[in-house]
Order: sequence, then C-alpha cells, then structure tokens
Amino acid sequence: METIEISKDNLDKEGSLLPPDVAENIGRIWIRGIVTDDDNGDKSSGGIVWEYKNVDEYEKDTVAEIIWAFGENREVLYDLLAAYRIQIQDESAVVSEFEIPLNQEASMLEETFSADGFKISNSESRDIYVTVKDLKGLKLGNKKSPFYIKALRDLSFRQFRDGITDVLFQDRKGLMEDIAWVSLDWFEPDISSCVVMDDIVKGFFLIHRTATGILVAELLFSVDMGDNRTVLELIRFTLRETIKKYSPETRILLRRHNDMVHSLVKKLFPDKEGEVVMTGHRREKAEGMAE
Amino acid sequence: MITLTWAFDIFAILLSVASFFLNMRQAKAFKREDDLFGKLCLISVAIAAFKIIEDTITPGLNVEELKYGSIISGYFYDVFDLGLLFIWILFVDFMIYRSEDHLRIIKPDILKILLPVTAVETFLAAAALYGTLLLDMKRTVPLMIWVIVSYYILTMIKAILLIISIKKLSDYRRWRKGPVMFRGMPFYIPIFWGFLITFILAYRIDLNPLATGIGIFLLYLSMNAERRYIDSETGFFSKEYLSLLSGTYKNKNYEGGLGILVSTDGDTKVIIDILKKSKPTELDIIRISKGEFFLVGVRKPRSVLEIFKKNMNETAKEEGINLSVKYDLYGKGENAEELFKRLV
Repeated sequence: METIEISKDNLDKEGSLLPPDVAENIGRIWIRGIVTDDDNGDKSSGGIVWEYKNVDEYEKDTVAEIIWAFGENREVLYDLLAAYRIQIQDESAVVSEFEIPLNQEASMLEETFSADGFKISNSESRDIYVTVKDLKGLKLGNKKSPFYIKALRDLSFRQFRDGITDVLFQDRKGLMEDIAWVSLDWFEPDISSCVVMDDIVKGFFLIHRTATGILVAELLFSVDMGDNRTVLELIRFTLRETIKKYSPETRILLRRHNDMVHSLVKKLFPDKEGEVVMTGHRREKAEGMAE
Repeated sequence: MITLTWAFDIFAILLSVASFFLNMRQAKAFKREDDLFGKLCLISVAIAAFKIIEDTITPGLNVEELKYGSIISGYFYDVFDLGLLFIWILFVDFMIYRSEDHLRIIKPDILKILLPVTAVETFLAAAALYGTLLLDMKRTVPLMIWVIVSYYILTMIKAILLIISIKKLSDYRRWRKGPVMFRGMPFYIPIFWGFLITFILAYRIDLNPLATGIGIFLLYLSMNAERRYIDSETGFFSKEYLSLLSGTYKNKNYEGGLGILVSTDGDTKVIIDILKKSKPTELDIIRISKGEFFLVGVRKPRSVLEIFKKNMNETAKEEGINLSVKYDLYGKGENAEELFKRLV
C-alpha cells in the first residue's frame, strides 16, 4: 500500500475520494493531503487532509487540524495516520486536532484515532448552518448602505491586496491561515463586502462559495472592530445581497472560531445550535511520536 | 448672584485654564521650549479675569447695549460666530487629514446650506445696524423684532446642520488614524479650546469680527508650533519625529518593533500616493528626505513584512518607478533611529 501526497497536479488522478468541498482546498499553501492506493494501485482506499495553523505566530503552537479523514478499513487508517505523523514534522506541528461529523464511518475513525493516541469526545460543533431563508427572518431594515460600504467586485486587485495586508498587520486572518496568498476570485464578488474610504480598504466581510454551493463566511474584519455600527453595516450589506442572489435553500456556514463570532451568531440566530460532532486532540512529540 | 454673563466669564476662565494645562502637558510630552499657544491661553485667562472685575464695577444693562439690540439678539449673534468657528475647524480638519472623503462628507451641508444661511445672517446684522444707527426708536423696534425672530430661525437651522455635519464626521473619523500627536488626542483639540475661549471672550467684549481674526491667528500659531513634526507636503511625520521616538519620548508600542525603509529616486508624488493608499493602519510613516520614508510599528512576523515588501514592489512596478524596500525588526535594546541607520 502506497501513501501519496496529494497536490493540485495529481488531484484529478488521486483525489477521487475527496469530497468536492475538501478537494477544492488542495493547493492552498497550508493545506496538505495524503491518500493511499490499494494494493493494486488502482484506486485510493483512504486519505487524510489537514491544515496547518499558527505557522508564523511566535507565541502559539503550530497546530495540524485534520479536516477530512477516510479509510476503507482500519489498516488503511493506521497506515495513513503513521504517514501523517511523519508529514506533520515538516512544519513542526505540536498539536493535532480534528472535528468530524458523526456519520457512519465515525465509529471506525474513533477506534483508530483513539488507538493512535488521540483523546476523543463528542461535543457541539463550532459550525452553525443556516439558510438564506433564515436570513430573511432577520430584521435588516430598508436603510441604504453608507457610501463607504461596497461589494468586493468594486475593488481593484491592488485595493484588495493592500486591504489584506492591513488585515495581516492587525494579526487577523479569519478562517484562512493563508489569507495573504488567497486570490481575489476565491471570494464571492457580489455578496462579499468591504469598507472603502479615500480609496483605501478598511474592512472586509469575505464569503467563499464551496464546490457544493455552501456559503462560508471566511473573514469579518474592520480596522476598528470596536465600531459595531460599521461591522453591522458590512454584515447587513452582505446578507441583503445574499438574499437577493441565492435561493432560500442555500446553506451558509458560520464557524464560531472566536468569542466575537460566537456572540454575533448567538445574537443573530439564538435558536441555532451546532450538531454533535466527534472531536479529537493529540499533543505531538518533537520526533513525531504522539505523547 | 451668578448671572449669565458671570457664567460665561467663569466658563471662559475654566476653558482657558484647561486649555493651558492641556497644552502644557503636550509640550512636556514633546519637550518643547516654545509654548506660545500655552502663553496665549494664559493671556485669555487674564482677559477673562479682567472682564469679571470690570463687570463687578459696572453691572447690568446700559443704554449703549440697548442701542444695539437686546441681550438675546447679541447672544445669537455670537452663536453665528460659533458657526463660523465650526466651519473653520472642519476645514482645518480637512487640511490636516487631506481627505477628499472627509470634505465630501461635510461639503453638502456646509457649502450648500450653511454658508448661504450665514450670508443671510450677515445681511440681517447689517440691517440691524442700519436700523439702530439711522432710524428713530419707533421704526427701530419693529425692525429689531423682525431681525431677532429671523436670527432665531436661522440659528436653529444652522445648529441642526452643524450637529448633522459633526455626526457625519465623527462616523468618518473612526476610519482615519492621522498623526496622533499627543498621547492619543488629536492635536486640533487645543485649537478648538482656543477658539471657544476667544469667542466667549468676544461675547463679553463685543468684538466679534476681531475675535474671529484672533481665533484664526491662534489657529495659525498653533499649527506652526506643531509643524516641525509633520511633513507639510504629505501629512506624514517629519524626520524630527524619528528623533523624538528615539529620544526622551518613548512610545512603548514601538519597543521591539519593526522598521521598513522605502526609498525611491523616481517621482516622489507617485511613491507618496502609493504609501498613503498601501500603508497598513498599524504603521506610522516618517518622511526622512524627499524620496525616503521610514515606516515604524509594532513587531510583526517577518513573513508579513515580506508580503508588504512584495506588494510595494509590485505596485511600484505597475506605476513605473524604482523602489527599494528594506525591513527589519528592532535589535535588542535598539531604538527607531538606530534601526533606521542600520537599514540605510
């Protein structure tokens, strides 16, 4: 059984197992993936895709977050985990973690990951899913957006680039570790919004549409995050445009990755909860051996 | 018993004293030797004190005051001057920040409505003066009533417009982080205090046009006093600010920080425009020489600085100018000036 590192170049050939929403991330700078071929080398029998976090941050441990894992059987998973453990030493990951839905493969994953040193538990997901129909229930008002709130499509590439640099200088990145390298066309141009004053970008609300059509809120940023009114104007613009453009059944993913987003989501959708998922955590040793 | 006039005098004194101490605190922060504005505030205190003494000796209304209309009319005439004051402040603010958006926000209210209102008020003032100087008392009183009522209405309109303009500006100002000179307080605030004191004094000594002139002169002096730290062409900090950063005034935010040296031998207007638009909010720009700029800020990962350098080079290439970008983090115990010398 051979383990192959997956990349943009071999994605078509080796990435058949990957769900579309995972596959579209292959090639991003901090995303890695490995798949195993079966003994005949005909097709993949399993794979793990993960993302490195905090790579450039002096005071935080580098984390490898597994965003997808699959194996036809336990042996495949064990081989994958062994290869994974070696791979993550490239970026000196100190911690591995994951959050996986409780689907039919969950029990096998739980068994193998647990045997490999992960501490497993079930908890509420950080992700909340809402629909465009849910957005219509929000009181967005009819007031026109201020002149400084614009759609992303109205930005030049230079403005976008400079705005992202400002995001980095303020130690922000939203859900995107590689925000500095992501291209403008990763985001939905009509519903993503930005704050532009004197031709300078001072805020973003960036939305990505996944391969399966889920809208993901990737970054909410303002130069002055304490200015609630402008942040709300960004959100209001994006929500209004989303309602106009997408069907009521369109799903929207809101990841509650920090306290601010947690509070905001709770305020907007107090009745929504994350589904129960399986979470795992493991501290890695320097030599790649789990603690 | 404290009358309205007394209250104004006391208010003027308190404002003068507050302005004086504010200015002294700022002067101390920058170790300035020439605190002209502070001295002028002290003079304002002295004048206000003198007026209180004068009022004590000659209290109440007299015939001369009636000749020029009632006290209420006079009060609203000073509010008219206050309107001019705000207009000046807003335009000065624009001059400081050099922001077209800023002007766009205030322009519709100020230029389209407020100035014509002010022009009408000026006409009314002239009419009032004509009435009191040339007509007899029988014809003067109805004219004055008409003038006073008009003043009320116009002043209310102006007050509302001023409030709207200031509100819009305060919304806008959230996005601007211009040179914050005095420990986080925009430096026009002492200028505003100076204006306010001057106009309140003007009310007391009935010299409104002169008060306007004094106020503008104070503004000019204050701006000159601060000019050494601001590059007048760009609005960036001047080279003197680098010495300040490295000297007795230590901005703790920059300890263990970063420095980025951007220099060009090409068109400086182009590089200035690039810097104004591309500068991250967290960084301050110091203009060292015509085509040399030093950006300082809090420590960031080198990868972030590398991205900034790459973006600057790409933008310069698009604009057709040569650019050199060097960066580094402060060494141990190093200050801004030492890092700058290392990068040159």
